[in-house]
Amino acid sequence: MTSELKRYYLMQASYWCQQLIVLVFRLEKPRKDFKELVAHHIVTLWLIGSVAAFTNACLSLLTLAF
Amino acid sequence: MARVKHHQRKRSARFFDPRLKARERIYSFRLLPTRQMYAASSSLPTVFFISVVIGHSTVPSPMVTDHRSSTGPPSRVAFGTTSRLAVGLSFQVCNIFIHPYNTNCNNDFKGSSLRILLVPVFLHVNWIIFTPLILSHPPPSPFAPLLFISYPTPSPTDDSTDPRYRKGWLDLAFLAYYVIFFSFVRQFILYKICYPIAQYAGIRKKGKLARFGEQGYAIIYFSFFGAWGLRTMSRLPTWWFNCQHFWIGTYVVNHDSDIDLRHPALGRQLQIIRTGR
Repeated sequence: MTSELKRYYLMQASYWCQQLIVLVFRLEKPRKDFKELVAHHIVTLWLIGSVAAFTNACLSLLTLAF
Repeated sequence: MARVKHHQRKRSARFFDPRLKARERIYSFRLLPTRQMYAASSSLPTVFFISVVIGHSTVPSPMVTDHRSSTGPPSRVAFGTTSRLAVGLSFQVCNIFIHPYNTNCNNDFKGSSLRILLVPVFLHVNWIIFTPLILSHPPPSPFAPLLFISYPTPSPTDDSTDPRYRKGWLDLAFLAYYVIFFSFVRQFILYKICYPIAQYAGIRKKGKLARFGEQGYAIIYFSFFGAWGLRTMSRLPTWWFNCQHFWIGTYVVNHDSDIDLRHPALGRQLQIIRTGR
C-alpha cells in the first residue's frame, strides 16, 4: 500500500472506532435508530477491517503492487 | 506557576457547561489544565534548545564525531552530567502532562484526551533529540508507531520517493492513538466551533444544541476526509474505474515468503519443486 492509502485506511478505522465508542457509551443522546446505527458502525468497521484481511491476498489493489 | 485553589478556578464561562452529564465531562477540557499545558508547552522549546546546546557543548556527540576514523566500535559515547540533567529536566516538563493536578476536583479526567495525545508526541521528540547524544546507533523511537504508520517495505518501482507499506500488529497502536486523537478533535470542534456558533445563532435548548454540535462535527469531518479520500483514490492507478489494475501485478512478487502468504498452495508447490519434498 502507498503511505497515504495506509494512513487513510487506519484513520478511517480509528474514526469509526471512536464513533462506535461515542455511541455505545451513550455520549450522544441515543436516537430511535440507535440499534441500526450501532450495526452500521460495526459493519463499517468490518468493511475497513476486511482490507487488513485481504492485504496479503490475491487482489493487487490491496497488495504491494500499489 | 502558582497553584490556584479549586474554588478560585475560573469556570470556562460557557453557558452549556453546567448542563453536561457527568460521563460527558470525561472528554471535556477546562480552562485551568489547558492553560497549564499551554504554559508548559510554550516553555518546552526553550528547555529543548538549552539542553541540546548544553549537550552538544559538553558531550562528544555522534552527530559531530566521525566514528569511522576511531579505532574499535564505540557503541556508547561519554554522557556528561549536564546533558543527563537536561534529559531529566525535559522529562520533568513531560511530567506536567501526566501529573494529576486535578485529582481533588469533581471530574478527574479534565483535558485528558489532549494530555494523552501530547505525551507520546513529547516523548517521541525527546527520543529523537536525546538518543543520538547517548548512543551512536540510536534505536528507532518506540513512540513512532503511535504517531506514524509502521512497516515500510521495498517499493516495487525501486523509487525511494514512492514507499510502500504492509500490515502489522503495530497498526493497532496507531489505531488506538488516533481513536484518542479523534475524540479530542470531536470535543474541540463541538466546544470551540459548533457551540459558539449555536450560541450566536440563539440556540438554547440542550437537545438542539447537542444535535447542532453532532451535525456540525459531521459536516466538518466529512468535508475534510471526503476530500482527502478523493485525493488518495485519484492517485491510485485504478482511478477512474480503471479496473484492469485490480489484476495487473497480482503475482509480481520479489519475496518468496510473500508467495506463502498470498497463496499457501502455490507456496507449498514451489517448495516441493525446489526442495523435492
